[in-house]
Amino acid sequence: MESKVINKEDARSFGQYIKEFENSLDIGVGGAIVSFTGVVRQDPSPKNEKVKTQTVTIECIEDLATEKLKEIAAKFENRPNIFKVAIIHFYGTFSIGEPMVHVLVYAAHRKEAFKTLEDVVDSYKALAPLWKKETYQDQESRWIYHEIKNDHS
Amino acid sequence: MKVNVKLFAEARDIAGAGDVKLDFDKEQVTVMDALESLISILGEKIESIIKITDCGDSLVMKSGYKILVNKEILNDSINAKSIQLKDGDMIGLLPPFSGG
Repeated sequence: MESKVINKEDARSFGQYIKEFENSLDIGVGGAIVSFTGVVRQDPSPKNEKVKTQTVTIECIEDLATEKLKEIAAKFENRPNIFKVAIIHFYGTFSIGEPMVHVLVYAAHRKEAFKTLEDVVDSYKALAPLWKKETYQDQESRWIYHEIKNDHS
Repeated sequence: MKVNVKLFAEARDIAGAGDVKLDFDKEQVTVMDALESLISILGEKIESIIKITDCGDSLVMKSGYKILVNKEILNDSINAKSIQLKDGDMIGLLPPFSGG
């Protein structure tokens, strides 16, 4: 299962991605599969007044973003006891509660699995050419930026 | 010689343009030349994102912005004057990344 960006119109269910991930694993070497799914929440980011988010739009440079996601997954698969990492990031316009990204990690133990999961999320947010715009119920919109961290290893 | 500039996400919204086509009479064109030309076309609209220093020596980019040349994201320390472009090359202005 390869990391990539996908038009949300072509997205499959989370269960189908989990199944595809499981089918790609070397069963027996690992003891933990953990996942992160980023979904659209209604509280703006950062929180402001009383206006709620209506939609989130994810824009990307498709080929370059897929290339970066693959690089990030490969880098973390080099960690000891990490056997498989997959990042599936969608782009398009999303309603509240819709998934924007799935990250899956297969590892020997849960502690290193959860640690790597968090590091992978920090890494793609900093390194992959993806952009997020929130549109609020009053039809105002804003591009959202995350705190830039220096360590993505 | 032609160079295409693409402005993504916030950069496109600020500039009011997503694609700008540059046409140069000369054959030796650097990334710096292309960005100077872009600034001259878009004027004040783009000043909050990218400026040339008063002495004309270097670029000042809005925090977190990066420059893409074809498929390569330039390291912040690379001198835009040192990169020669070819006919048909693409330059991108990339706001800070923010995946979901």
